[in-house]
Amino acid sequence: MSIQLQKSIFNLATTILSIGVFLIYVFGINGDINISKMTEIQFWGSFILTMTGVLVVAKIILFILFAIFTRMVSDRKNVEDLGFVDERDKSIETKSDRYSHWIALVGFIVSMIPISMGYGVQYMFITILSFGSMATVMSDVWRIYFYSKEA
Amino acid sequence: MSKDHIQNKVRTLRFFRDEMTQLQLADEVGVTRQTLAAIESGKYFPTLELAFRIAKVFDVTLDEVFTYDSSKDKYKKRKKSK
Repeated sequence: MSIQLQKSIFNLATTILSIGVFLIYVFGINGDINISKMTEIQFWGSFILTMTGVLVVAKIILFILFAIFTRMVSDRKNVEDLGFVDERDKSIETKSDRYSHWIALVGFIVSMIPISMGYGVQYMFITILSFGSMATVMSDVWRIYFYSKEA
Repeated sequence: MSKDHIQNKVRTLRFFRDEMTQLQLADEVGVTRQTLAAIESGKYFPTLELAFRIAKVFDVTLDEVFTYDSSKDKYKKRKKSK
């Protein structure tokens, strides 16, 4: 398995794991969230900002651990540069990002439906966050698909 | 979409260059071994820049590495505006 494919699978797993753990923490362990709080825009604003920060930090830490792990298990002579990106990697990245941006855009438009129908603001944010998470996950799924297809 | 209108002779050229490995050639032209394998199997078409780099390594011209068959190339021609 190539290092690019390993990286994509690792990214997919850590994205699902980080989002899952964060949601469990906010709505489960630290679950003092009630319906009235969810209707506040301030709650969703701080939720999105905290989630973005936590996910970025988690990704950096997990990627460092992945780099250390790869270096440990690989033969010293054959350690591939994790940061190396060539034209095919860029092309695959562009393709998968373009598809995932479409999902995010569709999510934004769909999120306007509950607002226009007079439902609470929480449905708009839940839709945006669901489609946003789906777009992130699908970006990695497409990367894995393109690397496997063009291997 | 069929991509058999562009063929390449990278594998043959590597063979005649003392069985040069994919990794050696990949390092020489600045790509990963996987990218070179994809080029050799016709699953990925390199940019013109990379194609020239490959040709330079073997010290041959571009059309000695990549061949193009226009009869197999299916593409829509743009209509001329009057």
